[in-house]
Amino acid sequence: MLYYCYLLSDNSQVIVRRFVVSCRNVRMTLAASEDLRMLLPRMESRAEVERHALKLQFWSRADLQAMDLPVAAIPNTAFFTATLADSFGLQCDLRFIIWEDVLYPPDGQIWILGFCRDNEISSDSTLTIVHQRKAIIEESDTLTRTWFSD
Amino acid sequence: MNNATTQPRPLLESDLFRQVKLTALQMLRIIEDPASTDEDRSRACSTIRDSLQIAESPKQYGRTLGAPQFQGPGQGQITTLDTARLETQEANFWEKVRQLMKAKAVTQMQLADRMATTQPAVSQMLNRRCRPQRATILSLATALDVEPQALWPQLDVTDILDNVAAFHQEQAMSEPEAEAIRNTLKREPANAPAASLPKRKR
Repeated sequence: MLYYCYLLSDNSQVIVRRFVVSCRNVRMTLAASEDLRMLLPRMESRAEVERHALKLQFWSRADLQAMDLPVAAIPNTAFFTATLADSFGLQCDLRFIIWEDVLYPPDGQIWILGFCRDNEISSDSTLTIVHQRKAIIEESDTLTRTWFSD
Repeated sequence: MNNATTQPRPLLESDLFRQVKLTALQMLRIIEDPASTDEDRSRACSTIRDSLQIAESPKQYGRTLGAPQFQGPGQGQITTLDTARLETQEANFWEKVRQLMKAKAVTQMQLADRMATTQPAVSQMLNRRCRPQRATILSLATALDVEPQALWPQLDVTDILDNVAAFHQEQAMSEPEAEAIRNTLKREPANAPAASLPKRKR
């Protein structure tokens, strides 16, 4: 953990506690891979998107950016969206929905749950799908722990 | 080696299919909903496939980015060769930025000011050598007063691809465009005689 001390114009000090995260895994669900494949049929473009997504390994919840990738929280959910403005021949930007699995040792890991075009309106169905994908990850963790524990 | 850690416990059917059933039911509701978009239906199908995947091998669910792994039949594979090429592009880009900063005596703080960002953000990008977004390349080029192509030579190719995509995505012709074509088709062909060409000298 790191503490930053900011000196304000009126000479008062603000100490901001900030979690410093080490390099974490960024994982993608198979369904998210499929979303990406539907949006970007070219493998080269998909590889580039994955390189951009790797910036998330240095991102923490307090940050509004992962390097040059803007990240925003989806209100009333545990999810965040990161927007990628490289269009890759698409007419619009790309948005990916992410979830931070804080329980994963040691520092948690970032899951990419899905991809969509930035101009696509997020419906309740989209959120239900993303919730369900998160539930699958949690179930997978539970099953792994139950089956392979001693 | 302890066998208990490698041998899975006997599977309980209820454990195995609880999540699969729940997911399938919810996703089928979305697929059958007439208000759902095609994208949502496609996502719902992928999610059902995912839930079946955990029943098969929960330990290997999902994949870690940056690690070359097989993605599944027909889905293509991002090879180490692709990754190496992308890494080289990124390394070259940040090396050029570093050289230009040195040549023009620009500090990270000054660069951050010119790019309207913070010094830690610039420092992080320089050190981590992440893949820059198009806007970042343009912003860095402006800040360092160079052509964007000098930093990222492939930028033109991306422009061409974007324009091609824009052309193909145009759904309908606008009324003025249609009117212009109609007028051109209505016009009488010109009756002017063809200009006589000078005879070729032998």
